[in-house]
Amino acid sequence: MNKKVNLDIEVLKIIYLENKGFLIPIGVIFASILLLIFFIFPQINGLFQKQNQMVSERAKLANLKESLSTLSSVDDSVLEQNLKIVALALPPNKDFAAILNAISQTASSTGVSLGDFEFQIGNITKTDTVPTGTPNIKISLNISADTSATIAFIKELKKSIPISQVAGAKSSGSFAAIEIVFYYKPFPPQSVTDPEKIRSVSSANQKIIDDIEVPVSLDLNAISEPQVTVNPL
Amino acid sequence: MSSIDINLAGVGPAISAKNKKLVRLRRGSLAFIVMVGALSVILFVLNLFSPLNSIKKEQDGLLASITASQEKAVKIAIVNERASSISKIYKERPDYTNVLDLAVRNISEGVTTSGLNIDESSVTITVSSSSLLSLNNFLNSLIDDASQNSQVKSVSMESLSASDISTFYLMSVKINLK
Repeated sequence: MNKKVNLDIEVLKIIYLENKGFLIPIGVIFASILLLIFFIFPQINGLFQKQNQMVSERAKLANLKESLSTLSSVDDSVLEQNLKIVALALPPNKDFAAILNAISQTASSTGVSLGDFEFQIGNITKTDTVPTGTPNIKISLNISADTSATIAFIKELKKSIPISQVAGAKSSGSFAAIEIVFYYKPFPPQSVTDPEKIRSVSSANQKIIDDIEVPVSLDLNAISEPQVTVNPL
Repeated sequence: MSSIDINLAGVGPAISAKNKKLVRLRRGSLAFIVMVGALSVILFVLNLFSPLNSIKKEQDGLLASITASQEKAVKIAIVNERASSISKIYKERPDYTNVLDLAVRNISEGVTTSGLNIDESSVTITVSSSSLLSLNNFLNSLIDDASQNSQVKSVSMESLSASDISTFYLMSVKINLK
């Protein structure tokens, strides 16, 4: 026989009165579950993310410490000297005086007489702000020298600064025509360094600097330091 | 008139079961609330004592010190960059010294250099002698030496001429570079 139940207010009142003791605990459990889902679990997730962030921040801290240690350990006078040497070897601009000096010193040391020369330089005032490759100045030079002296001149020029390259040579009898390319490279227009990546001059680079033959006649102390543009971090 | 049954006897086991359920539910809700509370406190304490803030403070201090030496940092970077560029040029520029030495050291007595031609891919040396034998010796020793030189691709004789008036020979040898 089907039992019929009338769900009216009186019945609901009776059900409520009979079970009201259960309402609060159920409410508390329900609220606890909501707190777990919407507060506790996201906080735990955030904590794990914070752990990952801490690993990267610790690495950043270690890099910054190493950068500061590098800055403290690098000798200012050695750095200044190195900067002058590399700027002489690979000038930041078209240094005609240095080029002429290199040629005349090489000629003098190899017993060669200099004849006419011609620069092929393009715009003499424009400075490349974004150098692509290594800019250079080509010079065509005539010398009075036999073949042996020409060979000696070419070999000696290779060791001189600014660094250069013989692009071509023709020697016949006691005259020779040589094409030489002298390199230069502008400093970047806005010098910015990553504070985490400041490292001292590598041993390979220091060897290159040490091997550069600065002419004896050149007094590095008398040469002013090249100007560098510094942007704030 | 509807009949209302008044049961004067005790309800016994049914109400006792319900009470037990209520007690269990209350204990369960208490356990939940204690767990949520404990987790909240633990999370709060972990966040409060997280070293992340102190790490960031230390970073800020180091950055300030590095900023004070920014010019020095830029100079170090430029020195490294210049040295690397110089190294790159040294590697890429053709080195004729080796080949010129090769040609010159094989010149023996009776042979003199009278001409030189250098271009991107070769070095041509012109030598003269009154003796064909001397020129032959020069050529052979040059070829032997060149075969052990990693820069040399090939050696070829460009020309050999003799003067009508005196016994004077002129030979051009081209050393092709790799």
